[in-house]
Amino acid sequence: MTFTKYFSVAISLLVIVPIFFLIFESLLIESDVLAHIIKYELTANLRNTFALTISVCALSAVIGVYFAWITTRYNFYGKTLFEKTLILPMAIPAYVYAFIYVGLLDYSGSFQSWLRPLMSYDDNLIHIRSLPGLILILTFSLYPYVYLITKSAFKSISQNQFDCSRSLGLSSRQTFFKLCLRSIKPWLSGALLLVAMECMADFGAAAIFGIDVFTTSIYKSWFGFHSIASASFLSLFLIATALLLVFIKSQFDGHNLTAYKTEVNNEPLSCLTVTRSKNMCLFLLSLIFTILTFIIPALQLIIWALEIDNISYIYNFLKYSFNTILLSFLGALACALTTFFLISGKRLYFKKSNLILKLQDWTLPIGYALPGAVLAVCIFLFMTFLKDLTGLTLATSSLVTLTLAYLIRFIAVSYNKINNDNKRIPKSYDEVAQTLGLTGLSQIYRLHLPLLKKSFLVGFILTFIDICKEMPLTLMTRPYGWDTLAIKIYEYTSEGEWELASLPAIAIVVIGLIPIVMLSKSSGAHNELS
Amino acid sequence: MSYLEIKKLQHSYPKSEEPTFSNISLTLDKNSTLAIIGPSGEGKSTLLRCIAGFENIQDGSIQLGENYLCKSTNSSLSTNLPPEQRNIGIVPQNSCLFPHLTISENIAFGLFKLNKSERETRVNELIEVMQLTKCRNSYAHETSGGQQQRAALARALAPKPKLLLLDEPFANLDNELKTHLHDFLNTALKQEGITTIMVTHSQRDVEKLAKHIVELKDKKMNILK
Amino acid sequence: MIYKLLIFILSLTLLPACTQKNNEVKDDTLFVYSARKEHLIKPLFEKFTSQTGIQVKYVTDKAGALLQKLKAEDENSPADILMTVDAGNLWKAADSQLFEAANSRVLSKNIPPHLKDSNNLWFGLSVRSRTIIYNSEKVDASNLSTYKDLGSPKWKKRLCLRTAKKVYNQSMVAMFIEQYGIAETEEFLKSWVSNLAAPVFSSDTAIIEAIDAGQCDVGIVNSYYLGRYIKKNSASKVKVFWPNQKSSANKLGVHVNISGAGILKSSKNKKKALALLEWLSSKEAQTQYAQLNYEYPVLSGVPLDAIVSNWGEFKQNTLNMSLAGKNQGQAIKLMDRAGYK
Repeated sequence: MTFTKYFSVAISLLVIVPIFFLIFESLLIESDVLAHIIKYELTANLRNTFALTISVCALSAVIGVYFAWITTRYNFYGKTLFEKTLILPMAIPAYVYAFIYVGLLDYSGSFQSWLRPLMSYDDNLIHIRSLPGLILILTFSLYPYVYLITKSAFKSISQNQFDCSRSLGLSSRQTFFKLCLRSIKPWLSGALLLVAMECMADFGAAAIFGIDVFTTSIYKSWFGFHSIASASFLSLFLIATALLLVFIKSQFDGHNLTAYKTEVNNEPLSCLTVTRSKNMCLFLLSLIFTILTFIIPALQLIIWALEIDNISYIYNFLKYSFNTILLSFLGALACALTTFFLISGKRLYFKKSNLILKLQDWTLPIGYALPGAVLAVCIFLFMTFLKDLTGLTLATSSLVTLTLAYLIRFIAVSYNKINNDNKRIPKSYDEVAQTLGLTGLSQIYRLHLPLLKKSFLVGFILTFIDICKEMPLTLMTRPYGWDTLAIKIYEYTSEGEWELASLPAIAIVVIGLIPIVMLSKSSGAHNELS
Repeated sequence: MSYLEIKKLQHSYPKSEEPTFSNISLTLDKNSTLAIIGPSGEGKSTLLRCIAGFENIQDGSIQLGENYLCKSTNSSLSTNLPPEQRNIGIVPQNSCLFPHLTISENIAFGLFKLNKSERETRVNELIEVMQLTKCRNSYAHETSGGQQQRAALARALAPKPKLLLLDEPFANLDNELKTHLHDFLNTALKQEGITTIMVTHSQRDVEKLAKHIVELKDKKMNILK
Repeated sequence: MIYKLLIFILSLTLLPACTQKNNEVKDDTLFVYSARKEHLIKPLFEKFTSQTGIQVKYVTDKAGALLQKLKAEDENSPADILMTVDAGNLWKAADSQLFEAANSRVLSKNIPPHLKDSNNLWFGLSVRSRTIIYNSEKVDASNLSTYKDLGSPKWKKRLCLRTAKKVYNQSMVAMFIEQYGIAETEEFLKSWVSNLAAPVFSSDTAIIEAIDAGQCDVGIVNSYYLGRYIKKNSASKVKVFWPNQKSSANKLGVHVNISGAGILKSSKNKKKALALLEWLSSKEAQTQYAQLNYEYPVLSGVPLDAIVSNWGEFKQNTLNMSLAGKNQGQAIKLMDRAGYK
């Protein structure tokens, strides 16, 4: 029990420690720098970030829930295919979407260049480099999280419940809003929390679009004014907002999720056939969306890749791909294992809600809200502190540092997933197991592991994909020779060399697709914990 | 004139060649209770679903009061009221309480047309009748099987439906609970004055409850009582 | 059982990490922290290794991050050299006491004084001019004159600029502050902003593309981006213009910046590091700089790439590059006040 307690506290502390450094560093703030930033950009940037986050959350919610619902409830042409293609955008990082669509749709991009002579006009028709453009691109990149999570959540609604509601006088549409949506609130809010955090921490896509967001101020104070103190201070704001969001989300959690375990005889929602016109409608909608979010980006990348005339680039990409896969695997493994032990420990030893558990629930999401670069700086500051205190020097760039950094940054992803599923396994299972003689490790091995295996895998996959796409943290803490595909994309796009960036972009998408296909297979067969 | 009139009802699933049942006719007076018994898989639940409006009929008609709920001739539906307009309450086999709502919220679910105080009055009324006062603010999983069953019943009764359909209400209950539920049903149905159809595979369970008993066997209906 | 398996897996993954713990490199290996991208430094380093046998390892990152890293690592840093693509960052590194002075006759001879630190803390290794480009079909070169002139009304809705967040622009404005003073610089920057044809771009290449497509007629870019562009699009209408050729005093000449390097105090291999720097300033390396990336060598007498030499000669501004760093903070604030995003 003590080991579990210490382990739990240790992990929570690990995530909080960066904050202490931020606070500490903020105290050294140069007031003139901060005053300048507050006066000239903070309000505008905050407004942009606020508008961005809210819009992306709203759009992702609508799109994600809509597609989750129609693929659950209706049979339409191509549904089985679209069910899977709708998840594919998860493999494409937001910054890749950004440079593809800017490259495609801006004034000098291929689309407008083709259109201009046909229409004989001179003005810019598509103002892609704008806030609405950025909102759209981030939505493309993030709605799959909402889609996946709500689709899985809809499985907890039984056909009988739906019928009961209708017999009580609510039409199908009213039942959807009053019953289905309301009952998946905890899942939906969890998914939107992830989306919101990703929006707030985004920097790459916003930079390509030229939209100044909150993280822009952080980077500017740091790289421009060389004021780590101001950057730290601003980062604390981000964290405060993240905590606020976690709090808001917890309000939607409602009561114990054990309620949602599917009762044995209740069948899930049945799939309805639809009229021909509706069938066409749903088909077209799904098709258009798949084209926009996957086919067009993929095609553009391939076209650019074909324009590369230097073969030697290709050989290097095997090495970068290997690095990406290995580092993501390491990071995802560390996250999943840690989460697993945290959750197991929670089940075994913490009977009721405990201060330590509360600490865990609140601190883990913080890492996710921190921009990668800020986290890296915190690590550097920590190492300086350690060195000053003990004389012990740790490498700022090593696999250990990197994995620890990934752990802090991404543990929220797997924790969120596994924790939710964990709550749905009733305590009674553990009690039965105890009476059968299983305790401690054997209980973990023989009961928790088999029950949570699928969640473990899903959490691992989600983290893997996230780390694949991660750039700033990796950039700052990777040891020599460990460049990843995301870093290469950054290097080429910052020089404006879209064609060269296309090859690593394709590689990242392909690498991301493999776990995503696994994910869709698992969610198809996935019959919640029954 | 009888309250519920079913004439020559036929149903078949879209993919099967043979009908689930055919040429079913029965009538039921207001405020009386009918039990439909028969072996499993014969289509009892399907019949209930047809009455409730969740399945389309291929032939025949169902009339409740003065209105036709559905009418069909040779697989073409001339009338088909959607379930939410039929004012028929259902209590499915596994109570199916909404897990994200408390017991009292569940019961209030169908009362959205009433204003707040009317809603509260009605909910309190039913909670008292069903003896759910202790668990009114609990969630489904926090209550016992018997309480869940009673809550589901209360929920169905709340909007004062014209007809109440119970699907295997005594399944999964032990004898003591069965007796308990018996009594409740008796009280509730008498108090609410509601026409009821219940489906069960055990005749013994409903001997005392039902005024009429029919058996659905081999796709035909035989009147037993 | 499962615990044993887990521990085994974990130790497997941690083992290589631990051996890398101090990033120890062998004695005949140099470690470079570089803000210059890999595909631009790798060929140079490989050439150096083939000639001297000294291995060169490197890690690329943004300059600010590298500075932070070096501060955290202090005297235990494995790095020998810091390389950046902007003078401002070099100045900042020197200001943070990271560099060690390198008194080398070779370096003093090869590198002009305005392109290196006056105390020999850092050295410019290639010159990039940040100059005006224009659409030759829509603009007559005789209408162009100075950077400041781009703010005049005749360029209304015809100017394209890169974001002020990019260090190249910050250094340029830092030099303007030295030349024109804060007030005047702020004035003409405001006029630039009012002449913009489109929101500021995130890359120089995008500006060249915009001018070629007709979205705007004039812009300011680093010349090597144009070199790369013309290599791929030989029929491009975009041409180079060298501004400030007729200006007086310290305003005379095109604004230039340097990519450069310095030896770090923490280096355990200062002799070898110096050898690398000296080699990078030699004719062979300088030719590579010119051929690889269309830049201008610091060493005189080195052949330029054909495209670059086509642009002709120009007078470069000879204010010392350290001013780019000294005035950077002021420059950023100024750009904010002028509304230049």
